[in-house]
Amino acid sequence: SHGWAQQEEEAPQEARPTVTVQTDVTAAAVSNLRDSAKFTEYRAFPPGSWGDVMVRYRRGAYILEALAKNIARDDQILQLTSQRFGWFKLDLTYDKLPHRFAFDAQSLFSGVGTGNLQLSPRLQSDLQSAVSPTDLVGRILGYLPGAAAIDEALFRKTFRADLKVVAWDPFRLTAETRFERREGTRPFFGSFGFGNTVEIPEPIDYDTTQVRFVAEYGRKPLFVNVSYYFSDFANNIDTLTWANPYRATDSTTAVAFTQSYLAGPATGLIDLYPNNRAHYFSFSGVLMDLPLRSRLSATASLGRLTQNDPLVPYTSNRAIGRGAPSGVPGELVPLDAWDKASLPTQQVDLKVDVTQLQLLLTSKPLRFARLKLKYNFYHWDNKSEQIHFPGYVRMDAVWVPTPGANVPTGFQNSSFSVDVGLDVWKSTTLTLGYQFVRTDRVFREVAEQDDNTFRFALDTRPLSWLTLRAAYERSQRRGEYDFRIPFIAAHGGEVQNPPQLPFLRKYDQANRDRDSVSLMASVSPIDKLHLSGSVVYGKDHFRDSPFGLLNARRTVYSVDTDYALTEQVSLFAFYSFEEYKNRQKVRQWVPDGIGDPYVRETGLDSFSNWTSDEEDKLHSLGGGLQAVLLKPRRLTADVSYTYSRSDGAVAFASPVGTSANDANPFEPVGLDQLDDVRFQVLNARFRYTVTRGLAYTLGVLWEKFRYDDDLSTIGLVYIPVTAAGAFNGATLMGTQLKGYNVTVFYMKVSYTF
Amino acid sequence: AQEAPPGQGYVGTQVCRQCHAPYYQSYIQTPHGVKEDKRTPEAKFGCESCHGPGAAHVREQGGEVPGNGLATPAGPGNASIQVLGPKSKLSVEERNAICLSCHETMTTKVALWHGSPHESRNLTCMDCHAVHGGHPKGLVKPTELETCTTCHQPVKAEIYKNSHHPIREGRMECASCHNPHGTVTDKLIAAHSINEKCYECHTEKRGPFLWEHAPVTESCMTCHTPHGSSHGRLLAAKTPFLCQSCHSNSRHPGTLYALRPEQASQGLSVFQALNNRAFYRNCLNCHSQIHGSNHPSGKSLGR
Repeated sequence: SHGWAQQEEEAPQEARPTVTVQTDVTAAAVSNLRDSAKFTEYRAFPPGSWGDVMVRYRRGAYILEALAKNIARDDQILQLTSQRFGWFKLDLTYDKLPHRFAFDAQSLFSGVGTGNLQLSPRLQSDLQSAVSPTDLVGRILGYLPGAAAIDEALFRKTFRADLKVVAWDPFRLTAETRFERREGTRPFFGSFGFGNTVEIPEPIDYDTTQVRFVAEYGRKPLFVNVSYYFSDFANNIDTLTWANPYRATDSTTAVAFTQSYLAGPATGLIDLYPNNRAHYFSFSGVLMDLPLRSRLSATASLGRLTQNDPLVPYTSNRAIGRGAPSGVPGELVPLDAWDKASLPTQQVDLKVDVTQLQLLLTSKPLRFARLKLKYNFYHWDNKSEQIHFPGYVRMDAVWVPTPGANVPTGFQNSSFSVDVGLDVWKSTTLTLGYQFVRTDRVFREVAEQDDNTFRFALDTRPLSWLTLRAAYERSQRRGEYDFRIPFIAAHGGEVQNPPQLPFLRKYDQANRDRDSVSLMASVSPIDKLHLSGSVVYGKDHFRDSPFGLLNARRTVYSVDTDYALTEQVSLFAFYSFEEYKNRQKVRQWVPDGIGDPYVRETGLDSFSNWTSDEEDKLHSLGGGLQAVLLKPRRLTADVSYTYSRSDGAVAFASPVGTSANDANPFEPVGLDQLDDVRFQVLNARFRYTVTRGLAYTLGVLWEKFRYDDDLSTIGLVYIPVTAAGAFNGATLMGTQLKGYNVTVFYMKVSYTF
Repeated sequence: AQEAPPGQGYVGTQVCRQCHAPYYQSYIQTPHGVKEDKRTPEAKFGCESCHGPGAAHVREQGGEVPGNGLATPAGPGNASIQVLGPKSKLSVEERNAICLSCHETMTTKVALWHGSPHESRNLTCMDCHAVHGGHPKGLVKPTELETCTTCHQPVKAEIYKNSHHPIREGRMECASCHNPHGTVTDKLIAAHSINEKCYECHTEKRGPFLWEHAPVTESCMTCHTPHGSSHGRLLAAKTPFLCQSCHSNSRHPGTLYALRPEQASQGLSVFQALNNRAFYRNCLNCHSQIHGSNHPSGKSLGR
């Protein structure tokens, strides 16, 4: 271990200047590195060599430190710190962080990384001229060998400059600036309808600038903090246009979005994340030493989020012009949907005001009693304009003449809580609490909702080597659910039978009973042995939800131990078991068809209902040792192993009827492999210290990751359309999660002078 | 440390050092040991800034004398020396008061300690911090993760899950999102709301958007679980079932994507029976702008 001063701040030992240089050079051999991008998801492990350097100059209370870590790797960090204790601290940091998604993904597109993904016109023409789904499959398979291999990853490159001045204590000033570039590609989908969805590489070219200024005053009995925060997000690629593999020419029909190669656009158009800005002014203050050993804290914040990007046209499909057929028989397209001039407005003017206020009073009126009163207010006031559109274009394929407006949802939370803590015995505290939360929403199903929570906690440390903690919490959330509200907001009061199952309750607003229990015990019977265990149980019961999520349970058992066998050897181990269970109920229906809740089956029962019981079981275990194997040269070993395993499954049930009265006949075959993972990590490091300044480290890292999922067969590039299921078309890139078995051998030379 | 004030029972750091050299050495290496910084213990009474005047302790040739706490400044004749670790005879509140006497007005991070969940649950500063030569940030364990998961054990397993933030890779820490010393937000989130914290790194999802996905603006946690998930993209449940919890609209949202009788009779496997609304990213194969869309035709979040 090393002193915390070395990371945060370094205390001067001597007044004369000193210079310290620490260098690490690492050489590594890596096997199977490109099995899967998962191994290097957030890191770089290049075969070859890399280095770390730290240079520190110190004179009295002044320190100048330069750090370069993982030099030339894709996850390198460069840092320069200039600090004078009691005066100021300046940090300049460059940080590069990868996020890899796939190696060797297969793409038929050119222009990867740009906002314009193109296919060869010959391919598009060829596929458009297919005469049957089977013919289409045969034709596209012929092009797949020519697909280019691409790696999909994005990189965060962050520059930070932070200055803190404490020279005028108790006044302190902080300025933090952060500029971040994100660039690369990530897996993304663009759909032309039910028969044709295409996996494409989304170009990432983001710039984010964030600034925070903080002024503080702190001297008893007062602490005050005033701050301003500004964040600007800029997407340098506004839109993504991608070629339709199945179509060379634009066309439209009433059902073009179901027809794959028969009709639809030659290209698709997506408006990528728009530029946005946020400003926040915040104040917080604490008044201490009030009567009855009380203190009062207050926090207030005003924020504004804005977004005013220009709009793109309804579609890039030039066949959807005035007079073309729409999605409703007999109705024609009333405008040129491909022309931006047809829009009701050319750019949006969206704005959200955020107000936050908190008051907290803590008091200890009696030696054995504590009181906490808290009021919290948070308002997400969406002041965005509503824009009324005469219709929209579905998947760039067909005009849908359904007028509607955007729905600027908003919400407001007001909460009040009281907690009483009683020191009932030596080092034993019983806490009883109550919290009331009222949520008011705009344009959502539950306009007003109350949540009452009762809680208690018992924390005791009866002996210096024993700690026990228990907590229980029960909350009841209630509100009136009106599923028509969002539809009325979008379409006015004319919607008679909204295309939503009226019995459904969305779980984030539904009436809910929530119970949670946590127990924890920590024991250190002797100084060198520590044992702890915990149980966490949580249950959400959506008691008034006939459909939707009905209940969700979570149970976690954990044990953990570490033991210093001798001064030279210490061991640790842990095990955790988690179980998640969800039950939900859904109905498949079409208007006027079987299961229609307004016309055909207006009650809760229907042959078209189905339930799913999802279950995830996870085991995680690990252990290791740290040992001094040889003295006085200090040969040390650090070995650890972890294994985690998750098994997901879902079982289905439904009153299965005949095809005449069941819109949803299915075989009761569940899915046994849902995101099943087996993950092992072995890490062994041996360090041999030759002299005070020189050390060698020899290490091995072995990781094995296996992934199985019934919904994602690895390596599949294309799902063919079939004669029986013309809606199944998808052109994929093979970015599905893959397993790996990687071993890294490395040697590091560390030298300090 | 400054010269001990006469008559108040202080003996000075150099006297402490004679018997407690390792403690002195570890302390003097930390920011507490910087004499030039007038805020530090070393600029005040050295070891005795926290442990109290040591004259009685020296006179009795060591050993702890039961004391009356240091919540108030020690006065003349106070014959106590304060042990602050696990074997301390001081109450949790008294021990914390010693640290807070400087730190609670020193930074926003600690200003809201009183009333915080950790304060309410009787944690001492020394449960997480080792003043004498701890690890980075003065922690009792080498990393924040190891320190925090001493109590928050389920999180230790969660970071090994398939989908996770770069915590186990060392590129994020617990304090990247939480302030364990107290915040205005539930779960000790170091922002005014959960979403505001998420938006610091995921700024593109902040919006506002022309077409909002309403639950997104209220809480990212409606769909995501940030410490780790067996499901991709930190989702709280597997799609399409997660989406179908809320979307039982007419037509395809309510479809159960399972094996149908005619497919079973053809001998197809579950996988072969799937279509592009169930395969891989399921609903997101078409509704890819799930966090919000700015496209005039993006009301279904597909553009």
